[in-house]
This record gives sequence, C-alpha cells and structure tokens, in this order.
Amino acid sequence: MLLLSKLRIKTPLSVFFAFVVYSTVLGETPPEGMVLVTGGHYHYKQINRWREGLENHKYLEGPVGDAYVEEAFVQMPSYFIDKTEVTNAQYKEFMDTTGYKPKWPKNFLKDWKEGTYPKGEANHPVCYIDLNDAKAYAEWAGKEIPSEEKWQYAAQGTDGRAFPWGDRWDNKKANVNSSGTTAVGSFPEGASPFGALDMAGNVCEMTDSYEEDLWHRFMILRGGSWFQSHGSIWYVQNGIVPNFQRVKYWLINPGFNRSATIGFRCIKMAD
Amino acid sequence: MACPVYGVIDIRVLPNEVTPKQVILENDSLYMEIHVNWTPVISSLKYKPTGVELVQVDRPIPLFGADNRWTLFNVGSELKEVEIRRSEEKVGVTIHAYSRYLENAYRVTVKLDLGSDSEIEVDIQIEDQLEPGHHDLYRENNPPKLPGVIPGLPWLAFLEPNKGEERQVLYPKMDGYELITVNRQFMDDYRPVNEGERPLEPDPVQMQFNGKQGDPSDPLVPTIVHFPASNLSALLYREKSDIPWRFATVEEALWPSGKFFIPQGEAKTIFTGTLRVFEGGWQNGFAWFKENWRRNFDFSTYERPGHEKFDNMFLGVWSFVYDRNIYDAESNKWTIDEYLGKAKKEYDGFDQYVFWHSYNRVGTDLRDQFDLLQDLPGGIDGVKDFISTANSMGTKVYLPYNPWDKIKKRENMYRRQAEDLGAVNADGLFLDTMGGGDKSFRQEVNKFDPSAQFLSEFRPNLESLQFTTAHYNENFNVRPAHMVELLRFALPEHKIYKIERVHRDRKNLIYNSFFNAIGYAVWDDVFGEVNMHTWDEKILISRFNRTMHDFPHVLSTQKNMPLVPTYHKELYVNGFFSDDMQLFTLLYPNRERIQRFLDNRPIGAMFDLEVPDGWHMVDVWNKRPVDIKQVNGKKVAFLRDELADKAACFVAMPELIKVTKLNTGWTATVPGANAGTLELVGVDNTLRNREGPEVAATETLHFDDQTVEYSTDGYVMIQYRNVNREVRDVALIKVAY
Repeated sequence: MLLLSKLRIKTPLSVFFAFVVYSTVLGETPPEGMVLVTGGHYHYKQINRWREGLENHKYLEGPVGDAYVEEAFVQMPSYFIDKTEVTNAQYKEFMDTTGYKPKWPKNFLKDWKEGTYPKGEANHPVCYIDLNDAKAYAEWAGKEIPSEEKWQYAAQGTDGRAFPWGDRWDNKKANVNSSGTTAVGSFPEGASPFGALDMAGNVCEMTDSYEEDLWHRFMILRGGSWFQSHGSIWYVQNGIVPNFQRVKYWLINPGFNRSATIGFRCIKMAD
Repeated sequence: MACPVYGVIDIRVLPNEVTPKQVILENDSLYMEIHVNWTPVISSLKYKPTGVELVQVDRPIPLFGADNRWTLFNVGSELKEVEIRRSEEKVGVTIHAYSRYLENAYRVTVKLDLGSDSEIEVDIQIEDQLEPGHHDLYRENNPPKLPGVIPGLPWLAFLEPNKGEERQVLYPKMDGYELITVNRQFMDDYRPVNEGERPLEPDPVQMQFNGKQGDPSDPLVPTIVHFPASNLSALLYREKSDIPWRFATVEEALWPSGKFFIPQGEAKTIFTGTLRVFEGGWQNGFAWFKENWRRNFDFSTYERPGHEKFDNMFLGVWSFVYDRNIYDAESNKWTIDEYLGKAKKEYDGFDQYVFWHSYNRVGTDLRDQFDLLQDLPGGIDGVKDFISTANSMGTKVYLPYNPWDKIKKRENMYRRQAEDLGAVNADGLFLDTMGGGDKSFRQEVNKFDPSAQFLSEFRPNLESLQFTTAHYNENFNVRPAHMVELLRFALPEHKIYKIERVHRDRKNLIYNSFFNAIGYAVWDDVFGEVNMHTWDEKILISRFNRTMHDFPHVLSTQKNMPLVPTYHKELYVNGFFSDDMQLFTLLYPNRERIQRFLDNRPIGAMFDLEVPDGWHMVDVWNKRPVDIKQVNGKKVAFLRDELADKAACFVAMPELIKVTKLNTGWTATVPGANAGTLELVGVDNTLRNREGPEVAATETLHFDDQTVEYSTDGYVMIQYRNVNREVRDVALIKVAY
C-alpha cells in the first residue's frame, strides 16, 4: 500500500473522482457472500478514545471528549470484503471440514453445545473465538482478516462518514444496545457505501492488527457490538462505535480474549 | 506539655447578667474576655503562666462571621442573649445572636467552655429560622447572591502575641503537612474583606488530616500556629463541622471559611472543637492531639489475629496483568516467579502486589470483574497458584474491587468479592476509587479471611480508617519531598503507600516515603501506559526498601516525633524511637543550593538528642559516621563532614558490636550475645547494601578489605540481628582509603 502520510493537500473533488474511477476494478464479479471495495485515494483518519495506556499520537479535544487522532493519505487497492460477519454456519462448515482445534480451548465457541451452534442461530455471527481461531478460518476460506485501514475504508467509503450509512446514528440501522446478536444482514438499511452490512453493531470485529510492544500484546477492534455497558465512564467503549474509532483490546490468554461480543469478517484481494 | 493546672475556675459578667456587655472566663492558665457588642468578639486571651497576651487591641477575634452581603455582618445580629453556666469542672457562656430584620433569619449560637486546662471548648451552630410568609417574602424579592452562608473562623490568624512576630504554621495539604513561616504583613495582605477578594470555588486542595478529598464528614484537622519569639503555640482542633473545608492556598487555610447551604428551618454545625494554647513548639500540640484522638479510636481491626503479617511492608507494586513479564502467551502460564525474582534484584523485593485485571478491559461484554477473574490463565486455580507463588517469595497479593462495575446486577457485591478473596487466598483487597471500606464490607470479608487487609486507593475518612488498615496516598501534583504525613505519626498502625501515575520524575516522592518512613508503590505500567522508573529511581527505591526493612521495630512504635527541631533552617528531620534505638530520617531538599559563601551548609550540630551514655550513631543511608557530641551541655547529632546527600538516616543505638583490627583484616564479635547473627554487609558504589558472610552472634566474624564490596568512601557495615532478624547494632568499618 502506498502510504502518503503527512501530506495535507486539499485535492479538488473532480481530480479525486477521476482517481477513484481510474483505480476501480471494473467488471470483476465478487465471490459469493462478498462485495467489491473499489480502490482509491483515501484520507484515513482514526481516533483513539483517551484512556491510560491507549495510543499516544496526536492529541485532540473532540466533541466526544478527549481523544487521540492519527491520519494519513493512502492509496487503497481494490479488494472484496465479506458482506456480513462470518456466521455460525460458516464456521461450523470450517470446523467440520478441517477438524480445527485450538491449542488453548477455554471458552472456544462457548455458546455452542455438542459441536454445534444454538438452534436458530445459524446465521448469527460466530463469536467466542480469538484472533488465531479467526485466522484459521480465513486461511481455510482462502481469505484474510482485514487490516484496520481496509476495514475502515469498507465501512466508511471516501467521505469520512461516522457510520456506515452516514454521519448520524440511527438505531434502526444496526443491532446495538440489545440483548444479543441478530442474524447477519438484518439491517439492510445500515449498508456501507460498498454494500457491506453490520459494520456497526452486532459484534465487534477483529482486525489483523495484533501487535506487541515491549510490555503487552494487543489488537484493535472495530465497529462496536450489540452490548453497551452502562453506569460508569471506566468501561471499554462498546455498543455505538463510529467507523473511525479504534478500541484497543489488551490480550492475555485465549480463554480471556474470547468474548460473546467479538467476531470477524474476511477480505480477499481482487486480481 | 507545660500546661499548669490549678483548681480555680471563674466566670464574671459585666456590668451584670441581665444586660451583659462583657464576659470573662478565667482559670490559672487562661484569661479570656468576650465583648458582646455589634458582633461577639474575644478581646483578650492571655496565657497566664508567662503573661503573654495573644490578642492585640486592634484585632479582636470575631466569634463568627460571614461574607454573604445580606446576612450576618451587613445586616447584623443586633439581638443577643447570654446564658452563663457554672459547674465544678468548668464554666461556660452561651451567646445567642439573631436579628429582627427580615434580611437575616439566621440565629447563631456560640458556646464557650473553660475547664481547668489551657483550652477552650467551642461549639458554634447556625440555624435558619425563616418563618413562612414572613422572611420568605423578602427572600423571594431579594434573592441572595450566594446559596448559603460563609462563616468565617479566622481565629488562628487573629492570634498575635507581639505585633509583627513571625509565626510558623503547620499547614495541612491534601497529601501531607508543610511547615511554613509567615509574618503579619503576609496575614494582612491576605485578609479577606469581602466576597470579591477570594475565589468562591477554590481549587480542591483540601485541609485534611485523614479524610478523602471533599469529604465534609471528616473534619479532624489539627491546625497549629507557633510563635517562636513568645515560645507559645495555639492549636485549633475540629471535632465536627458541616463545612466542607477546602482551601486553595496557605492564606485561605489561615483564614478558614467554607460555604454551605442551610435548608429552610434547619441547623448546621459551623464548628465544634477546641482551641488550645500551650508553651513550646507545635510538637507539643501534636502530642496532645495524638493522645486525644487515639483515645476514641477503635483499634479492633488493627488488633485482629493475623494482622501482624502486614506490619513490615514498605514496597508495593501496582501490576497490570496484561504485562508480558508476568504471563507467557506461548505456555499460557503466569510467570510471577520470574517477575518477582527480577524485582528482588532491582528493588530488593516487593512486599505487596496489587493484581489488576479489570479496567481497562471490563465492558467489552457481559463479563464483570468477577467473571473476568475466572477466565484468566488457569482460572481461579491459576490465580490461586499465582498468589501462592508470590506469597512463597515474600509478596502479599491484593485483588482489586471496582465498586463502579455493575454490569451484572449482583445482589451483594461485597459478598461476591469476599468469595473471590477466599477462593484464591488473596491477602487483601485493593479498593479502587474508594476512600476505605465500611463495616458491612469488612463483615463479609471476615467470613472468608478475617485477617485480609483493605488497601484503599484514597485516604479513608475517620470511620473507614477503623476498617481500612492501609491506603495509597496517590500523588497527582508535584509536592515538596519534606511534606509530613501526620496521619502516619498519629496512627503508625495504619500503612500509607505513596504512588504516582502522572509525573515522570518520582524521586521527590521516593524521598518523601523515606522521610516519613511510610510505604512506596512502584507503578510502571499505568493500565498499559508505560512509565518506567529510571535507573537512579530504582537505586533510590532499593536503598529506601532495605533501610525500612532493617528497622521496622523502631519505625512501628508509638513513640515518634514529626519535624524534630533542627539547627539548620532547611533541614527537616523526623524521629522514631524505641527503648533501645532511635532512628532519624533527614531531608535537606535544597541541597543543590548549598555553597561555601552561604550560611546554609549542613555540617556540625544537626539536632538535639536524648540518648543514654554509651550509645553511638551511624548514617545507614549514606554509610557514613555520625558523632554524638556534647554541645552547650546537650547531646547533639554532629556531622564532621557536610551531609553527603539530600537525605540521611541516622540510627542511634547501644554499641554492642566489638570490632578489632588485626594485622590482616578485622574481627567482629558481640560480647554477651547468646543468639542472633552477625552479618558483614557490603556497600556498592550506588550505596546499596550487598550481602556478605553471616555467622552466629556467638561466633567471631573475620573479614578483610576483599571480603565484600566497599563504598566509594571505603566503608562496609556489620549488622547484629537478634533472633527476630531485627537489626540491633550497626558498626561502620572503614576498610579502604
């Protein structure tokens, strides 16, 4: 990926559109269950909510409180992204085919019973998996876990919108602050500019952002989930989470990391 | 304390008790004159044993005051009722002041009582006597600028034996006490005249002794002013007050006032407490305060079986368990043994480990703090093994309790937390965001482990202090290293740990822990934000930790003296005493400003000593000798060389170790000892102790200049420890140079 970081050039709109059209992969048919994300020039801007130990980049006092902002101009390639989060049924197919067993199984598919998902939840997003579990699926499917930039671009498009459908939050367009997951694709009006669904709410989505500093291991979650904590400012941000908002997720053992609110979707690079 | 007590107590009313204008209370220690005029004032307060008048003619002490434009001062209380009380033990006067004007519906009641001692009991109440349909009509048409009353209580500011005499004030701040010297000009400059001259909402630097910031229920603040020229002090001790005492500055503390709202028809306590006048410095006043305060303190939590295991703890660590140093992802196992082993080398070991797994991960899903504990490596059994390993290495482990975490609506959070404590065999609970635990929490914990300790994040108030035997004094502002932790001296049984999450340079804080002989907690990983202690801070912590651990038997006694008077203006000394040892922590915070042409060199006589003949003294911090000399008929701690560092630790003790110089090397013995050990302690070039050979105290220790490392001054130490491993004597031997 061409990284044009720190360039603060205001590009004329017409030039920008021409660039987008030029870089589009015209005529390519997305694989089943995926949508095409056409490449282009992208003003990538991400925000970290202030908390001890989170990111220490540029400081910003924003309308939602103190935050750290990081931005860059990047040239995005074209790629396909799963239209929805990976479902229980899809993950079961992977399990049945490969016999996959994680090295440390605690809480792995905790909500499943006797090797299968709860009745009626075939199309709910798979959860209680960690990043390794997700990567194993992606490898089997010939896909990969999206980077943060690719996830955000697919959710946001080029206009910097806060939520997949626009700048204003709408409870009817995502599963947030509810009692659990819903079948994927239940909120068609919440589609992103590229047609991806459930990029806000339902389950937080893992990105291929595993990192180690000298002291910790962590990854970044995107998109928020059905679960919204209430009653204290000290909780991790969840529920309604804008496209550009990163949630740093400290990693420890897989059993601890697997959660009822975290799932994933995959991408596949266009030819 | 020199307070003559005789039997004569008297009260007189002039011209008569029917129309009183002047009330005189008198015993053989104090003479007090109250004028009942426009506002009641104390026009004279004389300390009779020395004949010193504390109130100047031009500055009588008002018994109450107000800044509010439409209440007490401006409208006034032109009606006064005076009641006289007489008994065998004391005499007293009650003055009711109120007004017939609509603007002032407040009734103030002042009670003053004098017993046989040199102290006056004070009780000032204020009551809103608003009558429906009468006063409220006025209030409706003339709404007050302020929501309540601001009563002034500037007693200590008014006391002034000699005009212009300097005074020393032991000024309480949020996280300690500072001794300052001010003059009358200072006092006049900051005398508040009306509301506009003082910020109505000062920064929350609170005048407190032991209360959590902003907690008005805990007003136990001994404020002491000392007048050196008159050798007289005054102490104001609040037992109760409804005022949230908050002061942004020193001057506000000297002119104490607070704003509160009095609901219609209700009464509030402005002040209940004592004004005490005494001879000598403020230490005398503090000793009085300590004795009185402890008399009513419930020590049962401190005296419960098993609590003694927390006595000898000085160094803690605050640990974010996502730290790769304590968990190995490859093997999915805790590595606490490696972590604590490394800490032993760096810091001389941790006594206390706060285990932190919740914030900033809780909130991701429905798992609350208790669920998350079960999902950690190895589950509950894994955490139990973790704690067992830490315990075997001498470290006590505390589980966190987050009162704000209510993801699950649990019926009884205290019980749930107590269950976890019992399940993992934790040594105690860290009470996050709390100023101590309460009785019901203690009762739940007692069901699983009565010896478990509460360690709160902030200072407990008086009630919580009786259930919470340790707390963090968390540092959010840069403070001088010589701030005094008065609570530590009044209640040595309670453990205080200094900790810092904001600033990068923590040396002052480490010195402060050393100076007060309290604890310090290492916090390198602030929820993932790494703020590592620097190499020189680690050395400082290691030296602090070893020094504290060598002498807990003298640091934990009731006998102590904060701010021992010294012969050097900028030298601060705290004293700790037992029958067979005296330990002094010294701090010279401005050592970098010393120079040969200024009269500020810390050399020669340091402070007075009261030790038996035959005792000797060693600076165990700098590994240097200290003399005990006779100067002007008094024993003093005496330095032949300038203080080697901004800190020092002088230990005076009986000379028990006998050292003999041989042709090659030395021998050391403890004549008469029948138990204990004799240990040669090396000193590296950072002045950290290094372990050397150890023999039974009944044997002879042989060594030469090659046996252990010696300091850059050429010194090694020999320590004689008794069977409890307490250091009973230290000999300093110069083996080189």
